[in-house]
Parts: sequence; structure tokens; C-alpha cells
Amino acid sequence: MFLYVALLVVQLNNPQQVIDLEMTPTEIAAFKRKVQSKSATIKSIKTDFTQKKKMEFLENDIISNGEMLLSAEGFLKWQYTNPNKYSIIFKSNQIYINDNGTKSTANVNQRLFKKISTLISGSIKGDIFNDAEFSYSFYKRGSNVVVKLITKHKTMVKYIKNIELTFPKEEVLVSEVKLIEPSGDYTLISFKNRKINVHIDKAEFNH
Amino acid sequence: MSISIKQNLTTSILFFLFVVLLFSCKHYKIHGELVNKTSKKLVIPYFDELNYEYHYTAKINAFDNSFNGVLIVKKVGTSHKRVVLITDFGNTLFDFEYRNGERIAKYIVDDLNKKLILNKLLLYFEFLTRSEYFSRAEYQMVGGKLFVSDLRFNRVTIMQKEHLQHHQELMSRCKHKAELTFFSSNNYADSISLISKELPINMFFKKRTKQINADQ
Repeated sequence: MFLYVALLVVQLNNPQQVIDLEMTPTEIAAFKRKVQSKSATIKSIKTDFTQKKKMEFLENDIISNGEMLLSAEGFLKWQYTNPNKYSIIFKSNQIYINDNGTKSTANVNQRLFKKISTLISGSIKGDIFNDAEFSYSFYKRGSNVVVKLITKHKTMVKYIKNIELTFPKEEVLVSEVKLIEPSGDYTLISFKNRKINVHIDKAEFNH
Repeated sequence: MSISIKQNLTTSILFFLFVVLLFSCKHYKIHGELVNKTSKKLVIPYFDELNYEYHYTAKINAFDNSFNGVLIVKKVGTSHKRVVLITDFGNTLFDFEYRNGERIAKYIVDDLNKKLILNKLLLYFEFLTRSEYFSRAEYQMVGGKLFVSDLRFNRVTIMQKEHLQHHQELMSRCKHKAELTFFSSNNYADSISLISKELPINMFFKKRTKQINADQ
């Protein structure tokens, strides 16, 4: 009763605040089944994205825009188009970078991003919930489902406190990925204009 | 007898080391006309606007690695700056704070958190973003004025050219440490280069177009 009143007071004071409600084991199992079965039909995806970095001491977010391509072969391309042209391709365990025409292979700084990309492509393929490196918790936030991941990896935990994946109602594709750093600063990647199973030219993944 | 030989030998070695040190030091002579030896406050305008958020695309080549990122500098108080470097993908590499002469690494990734690297980064980024110096000498040079100042026991020369370029050098008594050049047409530099003369590190910064946040 006390908890109910407390929640009510919080909601009245913050009408905009959305509370995360923990999903029941039955709901989680149903959600996982839905993601895994529906995503099995997805072979390729093409989507625009906006990346926002939010830092406590800044009034303005640091924003980049681009396009993400995932091929049927599992190749992944992140292409920043604004404000700078920069692309990164994950193909056969290799990372290829094209910095406005200057090409190179990846260095250590992309290790974390490789993990993030694996998470995003994993969410598309439906095998996201089987990564032993993370512990998972599932919530309902308004009409969305939010999956919170906490890494068990000793090195990664220094960079990322937790990751939130947002699945809009009745959808099995992630619409937002939020990477929260130990300081509380975060990067939010939002996807829009998603196209499923469209033809993607193999040349897109040439280096 | 043997004590005397030892003393002579020690004195000779010390004298030899002193001579070696003295002549191995390259003294940087300024080829200009000394016009002022009184202390004068200098303001470098590029990161000096209070609460303004400066965003630069960063390209850094260090040893055999290179990476791209974003440099953010904000003067949050009269003598207080935050300097943050993030990767293109958003993760923070370091977050430095320079406040009333103190320098604090609020955060630095493990890969860079080695004493030597951290100290160099703190020095280079202070050199890059510092807006205020007190000159101890002023020279008239061909094409501009040159001021001599100090930064943490290092000598700093500040060349204010008449054209769209501002050049600074950082050196210890014997060693040239870094060169910094601002290319600009106003107080928000279009591009900046910082080249280390003691380590294989080059940094290039280009003014980043700010994107409008649709949520704000």
C-alpha cells in the first residue's frame, strides 16, 4: 500500500516521467519467443540513424547522422554522413574504416563498438538474449519493451555501466540503443526509416 | 692518497657531465628585436568564450595507431575549463578539468591511463586550450609579434602573426616539446594542429558543424 502511494505521488509530481515496470517471467518468455520467431524472417535491413551523445556539463548534444546496412551474409556497415563522412564495415571478423576516402583497418578503439554492433545485429537476428557476457532484465515502459543489459566483462564494465534496448510496441526490431557510461553520460542511437529485406548491393561492403 | 684520487675523479666526472649537459642542450635563440621585458597579460581567444561549447572533429595519430573522434572544450568558469575527447561512436576517452591552475583527470580509459601518457595528455591539452598567459618578453619579428611565457616549468613562445594564423611552441630548457597552430578567421578557429616534437603524436582538429537537436 505504501509503495503504491509512493508511486502515485512520484507520478503526480512528474507527469512526464515514465516508470519501468518489471515484466513477469511469462511475459519475458512470450516476448523472447516473438522476437526470435519474427526476426527469423528478416534477412537484411537498411535504416537511417541519429546518434546523440549527452554529457552532464554540455547544453548541446553531440549529434551525428548516418545509415546502417545489414546484409543477409551478416555484414554490417555504419556510415556517418553528417557532419562528417565516415564509414565502418564489420565483415568476416574484420573491421574496415573509410574516413572520407582514407582507408584503414580497425584499431583497439573499435573493440567496444564491435560489441555494440554485435548487439544490434543480434537483436535483428533474434539471438541477442543468449550472450553470456550480459545479464538481462526486461521492463515495460509505456507501450515499449525495454531490455537492460549489464555486462559481466571486467574491462567493458569500466566503459559501459549498462545498455538499454528499446523495442516499440508490437515490434521486434530495436528502435533505440542507449549506452550509459559509469559517469551517467550516455550515447543514444535512434533508428528510423527502417527497410526490411530490401536488396543491398554487395559493393556497399567493399573496402 | 686514494681518497684524494677518488675526490678528483668524482669532481672530474661531475664537471664532464655538467659540460656534456650544457653543450648537449640546444638553446633556442629568438631572432627578433626585444621590445618589451615587462609582464603583460595575453589572451588567446580560441577557447575563451565563457560557457561556449567548442566542438572539433579530431584526428589523432599516435605511435602506430590512428583514430577519429570529437573534442569538446567548454570554459565553464573564469579559470575553469572542461576538455573531453570522445570517439566517433560516443564513448569517452578522457575528461579533463583545468581549474585555477589545477589539472584533474576526471576520467580516462584504461588504455591511456599510464602515468607518462596521462601526464603528456594533460600537458598537451592544457597547451591546446589555455587562454591566458603572462608574457615575460615581447619581440618584434618579421610578420608579427612573439611573446615568451611559461606553462608548468616549460617555456612557451606565442607568435601572433598578421595573417590568419597563430602559432605557439612549447619547450623545456633543452627539448622542443610541441608545436601548436591555429588557423582561423575569427575567435573560433577553423582548424588546429598540435604536433609533438618528443613523441610520434600528431593531432588535427577541424571545426565541427553542430547539428540541431530536434528534442530541444
